Amino acid sequence: MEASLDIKFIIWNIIAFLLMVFVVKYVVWPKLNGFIEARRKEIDELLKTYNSRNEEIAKQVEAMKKESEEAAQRRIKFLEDAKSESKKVREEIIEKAYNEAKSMVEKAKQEIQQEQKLMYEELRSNISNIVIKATEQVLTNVIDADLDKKIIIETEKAVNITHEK
Amino acid sequence: MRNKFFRNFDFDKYRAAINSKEEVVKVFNQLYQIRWEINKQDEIKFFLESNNNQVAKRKEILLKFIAAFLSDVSVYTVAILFFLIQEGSFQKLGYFINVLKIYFAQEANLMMVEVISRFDIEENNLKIYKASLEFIYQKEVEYIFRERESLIGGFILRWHTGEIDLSVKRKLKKMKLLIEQGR
Repeated sequence: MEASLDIKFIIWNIIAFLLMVFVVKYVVWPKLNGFIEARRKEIDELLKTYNSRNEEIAKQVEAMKKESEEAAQRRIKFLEDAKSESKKVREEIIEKAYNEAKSMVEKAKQEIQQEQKLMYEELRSNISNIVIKATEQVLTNVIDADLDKKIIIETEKAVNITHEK
Repeated sequence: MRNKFFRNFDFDKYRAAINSKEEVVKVFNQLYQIRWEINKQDEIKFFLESNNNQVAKRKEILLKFIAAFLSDVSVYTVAILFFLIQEGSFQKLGYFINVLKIYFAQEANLMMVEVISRFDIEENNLKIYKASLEFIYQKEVEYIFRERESLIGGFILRWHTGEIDLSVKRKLKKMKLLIEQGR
């Protein structure tokens, strides 16, 4: 009795198992498999999408990186240009200021020299005026008719000598 | 001899009328002397030169004025002065004298040379200059004497185309120039 129960139990278990296998194989499995396939496809699609996006993003990142490098290069170049330009402008300003200062100094020197020259000329002119006026005054008083006659005779003698020569 | 102011003056006829060189010299001397005296008297000068005044009156005043410092006035001198008054060109007296000088120098070979000095000069002392000028210009030279206080001493000889300045004034000017130039 005990043994027939065990065989029955085993058979039923086997039948149940087979039934379960049958059910699983023909009912559950196709649905599960379909679901898994659909899910896998979905995941694949998603992966594809992600991959493609990743690639795009990578490309964009690359482009941005390149752009950033170019911007950095441009910035460096701009800074160098600006530096060079500012140096040039500064040098020009310094040179211009130096030349202007030099020219001003030269001009001032010339003006001073001119003023000095004019002053000396005026001084000489004044001195000569005073000397000549004084001499004229003295000679006007000193020269009388007799002395004038002597001067004329002396001049005549000098002219005679020159004439004879 | 053509000149817009004196075109009515017949120089040739005038020259032919004066028969001697002494008279020419006398006329020049008197013309100069009258000019110098007139220049000293502004009012007389203005009256004689003003063509608004009557010609007869101007002539009368001129004769009276000349009589005050000249005793033996030549008729040729008076003729010239009257001509200038008549023509309304009395203010050109100095210019006329120069024109007349040039005329005599060119047409009559007679060169009138002004001797300007402070004191009287004897003509003997000027012989060498006269001889030189006569030799250079190949003309007869006659002197007209004039006194000028400002010359101090010495003299200036001046003729129609040149001048010899042997005055003390010129020497002083030269000296002044040397001082000014700082030599």
